Amino acid sequence: MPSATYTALASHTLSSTASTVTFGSIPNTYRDLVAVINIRGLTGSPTARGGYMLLNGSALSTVYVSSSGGNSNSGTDGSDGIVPFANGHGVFIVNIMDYSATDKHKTVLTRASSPAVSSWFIGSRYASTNAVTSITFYGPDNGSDQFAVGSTFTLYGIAS
Amino acid sequence: MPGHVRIGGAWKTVGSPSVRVGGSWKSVSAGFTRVGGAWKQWYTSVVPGNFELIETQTMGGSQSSLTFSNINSTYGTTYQHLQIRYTARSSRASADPMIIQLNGTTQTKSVHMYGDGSNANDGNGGASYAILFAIAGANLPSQAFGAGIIEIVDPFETTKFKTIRSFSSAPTEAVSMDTAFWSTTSAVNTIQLSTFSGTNFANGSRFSLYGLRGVNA
Repeated sequence: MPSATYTALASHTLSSTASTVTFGSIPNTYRDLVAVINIRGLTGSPTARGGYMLLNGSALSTVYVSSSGGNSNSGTDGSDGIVPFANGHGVFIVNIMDYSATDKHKTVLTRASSPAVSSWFIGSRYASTNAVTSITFYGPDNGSDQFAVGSTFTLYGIAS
Repeated sequence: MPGHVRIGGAWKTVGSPSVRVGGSWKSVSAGFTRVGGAWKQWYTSVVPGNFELIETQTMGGSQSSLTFSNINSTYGTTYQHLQIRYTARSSRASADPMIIQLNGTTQTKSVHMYGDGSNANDGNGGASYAILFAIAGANLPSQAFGAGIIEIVDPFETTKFKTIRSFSSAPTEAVSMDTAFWSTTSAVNTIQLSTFSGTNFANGSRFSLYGLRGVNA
């Protein structure tokens, strides 16, 4: 018999600017995690294209493809580990697949949209068999550009 | 939806509590169950949702394909859309695409946009089959699995051709957005996924099928 899933686990709405947002003590009772993030802007003047995501405090290896101005055929491609927060505003859906498995590295699929700027499709790898128990997001320039008030971060769990 | 029962001071997970009312099963969010002669309270942490796990298949290392069967006949009146979430790798020496077939046909076609860390590309997946990029190959560490999310929109509507969307990555090697098209109005009753190379899916590769309910389901 099918069973309902896609369970909201935690949510942060920033009431003050923050350089980092962390989901900690994540239970291992689901198969995949989905983080839905809506950044309302960044303080400061970002000089880098992207923010970052850490799993269990560790950085990821990433490849991505992006498009801008509708020119998907001439999109850019790179492997510098970013999760883009271009020009501050952005919506991100981050899928952490098999996050609770202890026999697999973790593959992360992220779709990122920065309105009127670009879209990114990002594949990342956390080269560890440890279950993911914490996720940290921080902004460009090593977190010196803070997430604006009202930015939301919501984490869901999906069973299998 | 999983539930939880408190036994000996610790909460234990139990599966999908439901009660049968008027001939149909209804999800419930709390109640009591009898454990060791005593009634124990249980609860579910969430209200029933519209995104539901239908089935998970985990590969043992000797299969190059898998099939979700009897989908329309079992779930056609329940769900509006389908989603498959997977982590997988194959025995191919490098990243391996997958072929998706609906109802056993070879009429699906696909286009894709992908990046490999150096270049952004697009192209056709093939004229007689639909390719979804990509799962990890044997060149990556044995613990590294590709992952993907496949969405089939309106699979049971008989007035529309079928569109498949896929977002996948062979970690550190490729990321890809794919669209496949199946030019028939038949309801989808089977979905087959197979490695493009014909080599087997690695032990532990898993594929989970989910249904998304519509407003009237």
